[in-house]
Amino acid sequence: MFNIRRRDLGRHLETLWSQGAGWLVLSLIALLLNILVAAPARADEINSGNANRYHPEAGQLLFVQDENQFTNAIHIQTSATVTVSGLVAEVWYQQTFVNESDQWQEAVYVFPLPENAAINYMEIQIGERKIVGEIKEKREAQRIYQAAKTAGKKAALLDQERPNLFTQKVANIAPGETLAVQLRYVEQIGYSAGQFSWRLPTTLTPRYMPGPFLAAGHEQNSTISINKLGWSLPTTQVSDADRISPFMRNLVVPKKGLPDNPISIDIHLAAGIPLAKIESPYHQIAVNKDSQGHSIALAAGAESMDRDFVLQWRSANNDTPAAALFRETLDNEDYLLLMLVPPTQTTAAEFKRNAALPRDLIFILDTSGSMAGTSMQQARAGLKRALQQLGPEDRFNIIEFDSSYSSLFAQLQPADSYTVAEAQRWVDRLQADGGTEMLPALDAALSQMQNDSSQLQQIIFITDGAVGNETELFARIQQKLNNSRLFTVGIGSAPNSYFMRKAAQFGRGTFTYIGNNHEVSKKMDELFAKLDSAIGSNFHLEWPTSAEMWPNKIPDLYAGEPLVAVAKLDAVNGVVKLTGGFATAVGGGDNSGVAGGEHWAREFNLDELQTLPQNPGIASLWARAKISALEDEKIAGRNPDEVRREVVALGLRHRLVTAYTSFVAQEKAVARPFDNRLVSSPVANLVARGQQLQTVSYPKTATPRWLYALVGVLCFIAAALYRFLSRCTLVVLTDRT
Amino acid sequence: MSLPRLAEKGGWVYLLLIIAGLSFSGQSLYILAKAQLAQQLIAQAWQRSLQYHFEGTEHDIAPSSPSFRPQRPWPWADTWPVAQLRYQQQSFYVLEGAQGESLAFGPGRVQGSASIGASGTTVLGGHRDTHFSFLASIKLGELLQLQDGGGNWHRYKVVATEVHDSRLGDWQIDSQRDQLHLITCYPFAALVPGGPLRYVVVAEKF
Repeated sequence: MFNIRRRDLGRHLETLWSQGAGWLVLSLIALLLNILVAAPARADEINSGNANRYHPEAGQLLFVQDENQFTNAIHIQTSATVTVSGLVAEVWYQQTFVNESDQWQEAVYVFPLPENAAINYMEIQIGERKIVGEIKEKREAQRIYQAAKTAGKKAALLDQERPNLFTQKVANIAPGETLAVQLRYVEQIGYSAGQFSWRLPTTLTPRYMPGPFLAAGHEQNSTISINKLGWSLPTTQVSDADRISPFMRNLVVPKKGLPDNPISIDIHLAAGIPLAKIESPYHQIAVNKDSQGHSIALAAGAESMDRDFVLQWRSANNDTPAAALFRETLDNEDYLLLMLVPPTQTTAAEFKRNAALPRDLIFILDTSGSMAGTSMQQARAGLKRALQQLGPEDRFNIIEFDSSYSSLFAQLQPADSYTVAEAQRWVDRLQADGGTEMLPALDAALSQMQNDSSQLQQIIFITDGAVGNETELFARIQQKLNNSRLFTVGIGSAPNSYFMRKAAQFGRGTFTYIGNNHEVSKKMDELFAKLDSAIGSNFHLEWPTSAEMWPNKIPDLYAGEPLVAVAKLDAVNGVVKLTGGFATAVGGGDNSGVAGGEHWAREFNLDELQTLPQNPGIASLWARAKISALEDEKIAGRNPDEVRREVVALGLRHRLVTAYTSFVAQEKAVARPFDNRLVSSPVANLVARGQQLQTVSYPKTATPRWLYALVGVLCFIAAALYRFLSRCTLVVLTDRT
Repeated sequence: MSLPRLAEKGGWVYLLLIIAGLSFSGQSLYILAKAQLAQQLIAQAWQRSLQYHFEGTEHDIAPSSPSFRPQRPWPWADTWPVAQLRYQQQSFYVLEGAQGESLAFGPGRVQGSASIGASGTTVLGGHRDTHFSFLASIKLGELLQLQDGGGNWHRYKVVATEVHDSRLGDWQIDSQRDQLHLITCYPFAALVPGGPLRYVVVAEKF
């Protein structure tokens, strides 16, 4: 009986299992086993790097974690179309975002622009359509952008983080879509020692953020959000550290097609004077002469954005223009850009006398981690070149700093052959690592300078300026400078030009860039020529009508430097009178005691300007210069709210991006379907050429421990269930019989 | 109960399920046991390293070489302890490298990050479900201590916790700050390994 029943049971179960449930359980187990076997395989695949990732047999396991695809969800292409007329460059700067993912994307791109650029236009270009941006107060602009983003409308927002660092956000880029943001800015062309130059930064050197971290916003209990914008955390000294530290990535050299993070640059150069020697020190360019001037483009068509672009030119025959005036009339107001090259003291006797003035010279050398690589080589070479220029009457010292600073000598030492040789050896031993704690080093240098010294007091600051606490440093320079002069030497492929220019301005010195090893001696010699020669001082401009001029006090000028000012006038007529003198910056207060003793005066008739063509952009430059002056006043201690109000008014009136005003553009129609998610992706900057990026790949940090445990338990449950079911079947069968 | 008898009692499917259940639970326990027992062996290797450092210098063949002498926890190990990490009452022995198998035995120093105690950022990786499960409850301001091969203790204070998406690129560290980063997988409760998110505890030296 039992046997029969047993056999019946077996038969029944067989049919039952063969019909479904059994296979279901078995396939479930098989599936789980598959997952478990697949998981380590997948991890291996990713660990083994890019090379193996595209093997077809491995392909099917990769759909979840193709890192490459995610990293470069948004590709960016940049183009700059530049028109240089006289001393003003108008730049159309177009960023094309290509969404290569299959999701709706928001692109977040932190990028550099020149620190004196006046950005006065923004539009979104979607195919043939254009959406023009409006200038709004920053908070208002952010609110509009956020609302448009949430509603699924295409929108763009341009915020200023630093005068040379901006964030472009573009919301709701459809999968596979290409969308461009076009900016326009105007800026003054640089001019020094007979050479004009235009600079376009393309990437940045990651900045050091001094100070302890701010805990706010990172509380344990706050909702955990994925940090996508920046890799540095806010600190007490740099509260916006996360916003100015975008992700960086190493250059990838593609086998064909466009370079990685490509930029194309087209320049039309209408200098107004015959030109000679148009050159670009860091890029290959193609120059074509046409009837209106020169057109210049990158020889390769496009280059990677891993180093700043610089274009330099000189006037033919080396006859430097003595003066240049440009004008724009806007809303019945006249704006004037004025450049004057002061007469130079060229008599050999005069020059020698100045050069022979003994001086105290302190070098501050940045040996922080960001200087590692070719930057450190350039800095070392520059410093050694400078040491050779010292005479036995000079006294000098070297201070190097990273997380802390150290001084070669305890105090200034005469530059004899022994001390110089010791300095050379010391410099050779320096390694670049650690933080960028500039403030203590700067303090040390300033305090080593003796106030009562009758020597020239000069500080040469060799750095890449990769710090986030610029304002704090500027304030310190201004407070403690006394009779010293501070000269900045910017090192590397992408130095922080805002720091270089402003530190030199507050330090009443000049700034110099060294972009590669070939330039070191030339640039250092140029700098020493400036240090040696007399400076122009006591400039005074007398306007015929009431005029608002920026900078409102003309700073002292070194040999070869022009006087540049932007003024707003009631009327363009009458005669402008400029007077000036020379000084040697000998100690003993400001330069009221004019040592050179030479005075001169010049006059310009503005009536002639009436017939000259308008030069658009001067008004923007004027507003930008005023904003810059207002920011300086804030550093000098003026009420920040007052400055803010004035800057906002100027920004709105002149449609300029400032620290407190932003451009925002939004489409009227909703683009993204309501049920589609929006993914936010940062657009990484390329690591500047010659620098080292410190990244580590993420470890695989999970075991299948709980998964195994769960599957084990599930198996036991299935087994129990199976027994239970078979008992039931048994009971049913028993009942039937 | 013998296998045939078990099979007779419930059928082969039942037997299969029991075996699968045992083996999966066993593997789960094995992972845990490996993680904890290995730490014991590594602790001994670490003590030997420190001993060599303090006593073995005069017998050192090359006295100019760094005095840290790596000791393998077991003869065929491809890694060795480089630090001891202490959090509250717990101690973990950190291995060199955070790739592949070594994380099964202990947290690993991610290669490319600063070495233990040196200036710069040291990054340690650990499994979220074994050694680094304590990160789930770590609080801001809490203390982490790290002992280097010279026996010196370095103190770090937790200043931030963040979640990052590993698909957005490699973990970028600031070589200019003296920090300790502990990285583990996120979310902590996820079952299947290999997810893209990472939990990072940022601690600063003080």
